[in-house]
Amino acid sequence: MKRADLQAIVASGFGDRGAARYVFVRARAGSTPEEVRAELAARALPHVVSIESNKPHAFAQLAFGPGGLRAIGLDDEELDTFPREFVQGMAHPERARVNGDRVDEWHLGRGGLDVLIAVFAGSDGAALALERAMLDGARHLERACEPLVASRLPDQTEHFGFRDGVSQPSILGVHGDPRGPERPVPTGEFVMGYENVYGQLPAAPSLSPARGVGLPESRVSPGRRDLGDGGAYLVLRKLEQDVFAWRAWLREASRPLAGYVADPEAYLGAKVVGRWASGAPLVTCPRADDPAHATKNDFDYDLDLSGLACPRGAHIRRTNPRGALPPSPPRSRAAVETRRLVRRGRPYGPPAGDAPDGEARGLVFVCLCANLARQFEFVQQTWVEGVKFDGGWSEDDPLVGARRAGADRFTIPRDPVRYAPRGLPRFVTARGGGYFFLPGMDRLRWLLGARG
Amino acid sequence: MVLPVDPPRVAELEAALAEVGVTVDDGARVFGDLSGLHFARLVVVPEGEDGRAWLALETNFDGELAPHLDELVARVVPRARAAFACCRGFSLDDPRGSLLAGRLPERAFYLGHQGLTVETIQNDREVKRALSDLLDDEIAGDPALLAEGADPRPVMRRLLERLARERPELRTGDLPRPLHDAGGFHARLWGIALFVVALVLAGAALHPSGAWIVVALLLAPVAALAVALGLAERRDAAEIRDQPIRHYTRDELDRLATIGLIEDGSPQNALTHLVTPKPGALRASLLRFVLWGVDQLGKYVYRYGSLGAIPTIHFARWVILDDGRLLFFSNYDGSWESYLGDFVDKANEGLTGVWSNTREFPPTKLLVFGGARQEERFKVWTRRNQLVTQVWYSAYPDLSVRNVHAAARLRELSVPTARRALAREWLGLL
Repeated sequence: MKRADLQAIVASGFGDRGAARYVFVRARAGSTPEEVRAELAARALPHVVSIESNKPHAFAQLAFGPGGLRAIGLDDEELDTFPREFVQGMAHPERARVNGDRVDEWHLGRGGLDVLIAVFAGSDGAALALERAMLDGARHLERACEPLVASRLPDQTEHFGFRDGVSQPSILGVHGDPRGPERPVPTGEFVMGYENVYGQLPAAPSLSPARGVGLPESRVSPGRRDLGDGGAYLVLRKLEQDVFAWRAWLREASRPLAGYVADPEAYLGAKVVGRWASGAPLVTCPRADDPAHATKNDFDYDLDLSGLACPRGAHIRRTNPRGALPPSPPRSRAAVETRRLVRRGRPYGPPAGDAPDGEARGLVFVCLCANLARQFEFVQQTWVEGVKFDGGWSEDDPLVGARRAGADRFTIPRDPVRYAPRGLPRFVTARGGGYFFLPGMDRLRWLLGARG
Repeated sequence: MVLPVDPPRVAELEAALAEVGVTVDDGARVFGDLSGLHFARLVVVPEGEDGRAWLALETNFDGELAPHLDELVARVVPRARAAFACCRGFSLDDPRGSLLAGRLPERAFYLGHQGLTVETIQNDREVKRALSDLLDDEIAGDPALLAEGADPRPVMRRLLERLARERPELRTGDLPRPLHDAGGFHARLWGIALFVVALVLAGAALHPSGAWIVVALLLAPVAALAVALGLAERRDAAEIRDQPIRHYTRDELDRLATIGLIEDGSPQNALTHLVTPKPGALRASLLRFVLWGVDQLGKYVYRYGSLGAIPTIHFARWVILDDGRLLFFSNYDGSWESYLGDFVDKANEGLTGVWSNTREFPPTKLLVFGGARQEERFKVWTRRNQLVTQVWYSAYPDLSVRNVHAAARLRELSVPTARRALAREWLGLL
């Protein structure tokens, strides 16, 4: 396995680098592909680190939307070797339909996003300095919009106050020891050029031999030159969180439970998320939070198929159902393994105080996969937005669902009578995003190199 | 039913169907008031290699053909007159005869909720809704119901009393549910097994090595078939392997764009899929044999749903057109990606068994292995051969197969009971 060929974000979210900026860049009008390539090669490429690099105080990762690939000289025939989802882009009506997005509510990427430079650094100042070093005075590149600046919240929490990012697949060959008892997921689920869960090489973009001079032969598209090896697809979504609506709903909707559970608001929040605020899963801690279980990921739903501990529609159960789905726990686990994502997101916006402050805040959701339709879009469409998920009637993800077509209910199974509040508000609103191709290091150098 | 269309009139036919519209509501304007109709669609089957095209009408209905035909003639034909008028030899004076002439037997048919009529399914849905609402109402009036560990029977009694009083039109308890009698199927299987054993015993009685000779004679044709198939598969695989996984043509991309804006509009979706079998008698007979097997499994083994562990298919059928092409209709729950994922992860052998006999299918081994497990190739192949479902109707577009089963169970259990466990299960369904 060529670890030095993978951009570092495949392996890590860089938790030790507190600052991150997501900078959206495009070519200036009139610049030629040669000029754009040369400038990216000179200004950005030296800061892009691989898994194996020693990471400096500030560094970058580089990814391209379809417009960015055109700007560096790929043609339509070559773009058509990328997945349809990628070429259409997240704002396309068909993708919006699949993902449950209302693009008219977006602030970011309605017209597509061309180039993403993600900057990570030990301090906000250093991140900004690197961004400016790359872009100030550039003649062929410009910022397409304001960068998204990540913020820091205590204890790896997100704005609603829950620990985030506990469950992450470990990737075969990338992560040394599998963390926890989950077996590592085959590399090809996240990186092109390696076998996926079906024991096959993922489809990958390619060029004709005449245009791809210097690239090796493609192993999945005979007679063509490979552009995919070491590369992944990166999904970025700006998800705005309405913390005050969330708190108000918890207060209101937990009222009928007063007297029947110890701490109604904490109980209701945990039922929605599937974990307590500390991160402790409901399956192992059904009655009360236990910080000793904060990062516990070694559990399954096979003894809780009815959802009495963790509701079937709870957020973490929808987004990773483990053994919960028919026809049986082992077959569920096998099917779920084909839908995994590695998440690399961070919160943005200031922490919420006690009173509404009019500030925008939320999550820069970032995930990686090798197959956008089978992994990211499936999870979003069928598990998060799917109103029939696991036998449901008309419910979407209670935490992040878009509440389409009357899906505004959440059922909490209890013995003997369930509690199923109606009229769930939308707590999370997608404000934009895009699909990007995150090339392997070799292919990135080739893409930005001087050539005929 | 399939009605022939002269290729020059296909565009006109498509326009006539487009006039109806692609949503379930549009479909309801054509099919909505037919009695006992579960699902229906009108699809243009484009011209094949020998130049024949059709208008396909799929209906899944309760009861007998004759009254259903009467309704098609009286209601559907007038409403889609412009479409039917495009069909060659379709007589608007004798639509019944024209429809009957176009009847095609299904080669394999599967139904995810055998024995439940539209009326029952819709009744059960209302029972579920009414009881859920009543329970919400009871909780609002008396939050103490939310206490855990209480006896489930009093609240169940109260809800059933209110249901009977407030919604007397809804039926509860057992309703007739005719299933295919699996007895004959099992008897045939036993018959074949006993016949084989008898042959072997007879052989043993006649000659010292007689049993082995009989076994060899029985296995010889199977072995010959496996060898012939293996050779054919090797030839087919060599052709496929040299093609890139992806790359749609412009036409295919245009069709996918149309399909993309139709699909996923409701919790249910329609798939219409058309492929050409590989040439030769071997493939033709294998295809018919596997379809027969799938049909038997659907009728007699998966009688309560979950064909090959896929819990999301309402109705599915395969038919073979007169020009040999294989047409597949499915009415399923959820997204295309989820349905195809189930094909790949949970039912790949059966589907590979059918489709391995058709052109450009991903390489297979021994008929049922490989094939659909080549996930990306299989999905691209399916997309490439998918047709636009121009007009589609569902009588219960808001119900998944699991909803139908859960509601039927709820209705069956909606009778007074002294058993705590049953009362608890019943409440759990709300």
